[in-house]
Amino acid sequence: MWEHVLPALASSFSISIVLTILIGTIAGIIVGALPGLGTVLGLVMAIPFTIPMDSSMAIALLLSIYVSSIYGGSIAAILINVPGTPQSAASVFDGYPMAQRGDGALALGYATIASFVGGVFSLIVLIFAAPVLARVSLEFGPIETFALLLFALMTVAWVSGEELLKGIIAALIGIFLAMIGTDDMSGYSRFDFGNLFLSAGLTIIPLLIGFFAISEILFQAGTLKDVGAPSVKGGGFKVAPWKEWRKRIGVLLRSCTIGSFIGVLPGTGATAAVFVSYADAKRRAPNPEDFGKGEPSGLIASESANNSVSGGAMVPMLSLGIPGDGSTAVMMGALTLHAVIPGVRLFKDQPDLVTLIFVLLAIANVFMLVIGALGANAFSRMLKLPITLLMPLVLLMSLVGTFAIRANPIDLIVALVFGVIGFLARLNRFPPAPIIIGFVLGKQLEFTFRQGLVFTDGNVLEFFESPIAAVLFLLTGLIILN
Amino acid sequence: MSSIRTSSADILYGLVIATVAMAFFVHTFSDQYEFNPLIESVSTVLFPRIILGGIFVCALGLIVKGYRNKSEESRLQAVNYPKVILVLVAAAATAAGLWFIGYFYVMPIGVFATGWALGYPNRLILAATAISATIIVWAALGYFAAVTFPTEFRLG
Repeated sequence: MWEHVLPALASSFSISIVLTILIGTIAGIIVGALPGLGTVLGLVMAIPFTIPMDSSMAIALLLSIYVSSIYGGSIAAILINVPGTPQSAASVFDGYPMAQRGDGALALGYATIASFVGGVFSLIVLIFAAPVLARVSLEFGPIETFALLLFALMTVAWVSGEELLKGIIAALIGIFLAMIGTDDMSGYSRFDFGNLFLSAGLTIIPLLIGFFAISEILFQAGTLKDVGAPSVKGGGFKVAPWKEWRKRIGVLLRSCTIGSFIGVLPGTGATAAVFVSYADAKRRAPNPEDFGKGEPSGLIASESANNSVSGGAMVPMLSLGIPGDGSTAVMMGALTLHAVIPGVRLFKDQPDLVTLIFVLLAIANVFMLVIGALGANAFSRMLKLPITLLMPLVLLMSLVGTFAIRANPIDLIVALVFGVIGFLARLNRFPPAPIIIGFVLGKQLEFTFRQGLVFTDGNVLEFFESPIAAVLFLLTGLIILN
Repeated sequence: MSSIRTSSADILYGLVIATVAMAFFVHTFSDQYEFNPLIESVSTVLFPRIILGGIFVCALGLIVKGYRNKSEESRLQAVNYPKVILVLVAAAATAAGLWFIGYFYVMPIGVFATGWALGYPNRLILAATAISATIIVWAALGYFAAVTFPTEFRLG
């Protein structure tokens, strides 16, 4: 891998890539900062812009939005007491009290630097863990792969919603949607009812736009209360003295470790990581009573943990082709549009591209730090934009984005239909992530299952003879029986 | 704003999901999926049947859960359904207009109508935003990224 670093650096510092990362970082911070938008929506809206790009530019844009939108959520959390993204929920506890007592700039300084350290820490984890995991998975046959995909999907179903049953139903619906259209193994067309469009199968982009963007617009329409423009407390950027940071190095490193580890686990994501890190920081602190009243350690714990999830979540996505949450599922869908198929083969066949991803992720983190620091005032002012003005723009981007993929009007209908389904699902707390991840993994799940049946002459019991598969099936069974 | 009990919603959702899953399950027994061992060694509809069976069983579980929790008071989030329908109609009309009438004619009106349906108070700002966003997105996607937008009437 190391022999690819210099070429990757050379191509990363071309004007077009640097400009793309700059735009992606600014856009990411904005969508992260504005409550109601967030990381997934930001990524979904960026997909149409990646269509004419080559794969490296597309990856640069998506990674910079991914990294910076997680950080962007802290700006709203600190200044208006509303987390811009769910990942910044715990930043409200100490960030907002700091802003209220006039330390908003200092809080943004803590959040920006902690986010940067979290991002870089998780990148190091990604660089070392992903190739190892990819090498291990090379030993997997179809039965082990099937067991692994099933386990990952059930874990996502388990942890991403409030109820396991709804998570499982969502995951199964996602798998079923992937089966519509021509079956790759036999050439049979399934569930198309004679419709040519359906026989080609559903594509991921209209689904993503429907489930995440249109459903969000409908949800906002149905639940929005007129609260007027938020009152923004402070703004700016100020770095705390080194002695303040030195006291909190332990919190920073522990939160980075927790975030990276939780990020690797499918489905858990940044929201879980921030609360675990926050609780850990509070438990170990000499002054736990100050947490929730503007203690910087709480903010550092939350912000370093959520950004350290970014690299962690990319470990299973890049090495196994298993997205762990909605954001990585969207990224995986967008990458496949550019013929970049995450998984074991990526490390084997395109090590130069993998190295480029690592380098771009590093640059995206640096840009997040610099632009976050320089643009803190401007981003703070944007918080006054009302959601009723933003959502029509999301609709514009959603429709144009759906149409831009292949200029097929049926995609618009699919996006709207799944927008309504996504809205109804969200109302009754069906998590959207398992549906999308089920859709992304559905074809591979079926392929490995059928290959496994061929290998074992149709004897499903032989699936349990592989120790790895047996353990994974056992873990899956435990989740379902939970 | 109206909301229904979570238990009732679970029963309703369970019924709808179970019915749809069963319909698709029955469909897998139609002639078009007849198993041909010369072409394939595993039936094309084996996996779909497992998945649809799973969805059906889980949906029944949801119905049972709904009945068990009937006495609980928890409710779904209150929703202003007329507003949702208004925004949905605006979105659907914009989508249809995008294809049948063309991007430049429809998008400013669609963005304005959606903003108005959502309740944005200042119509002047909304109109300015709708027009400028239409032009910016066209410039970014249509001009620089070479994405083709429908620009002509397809009606008639």
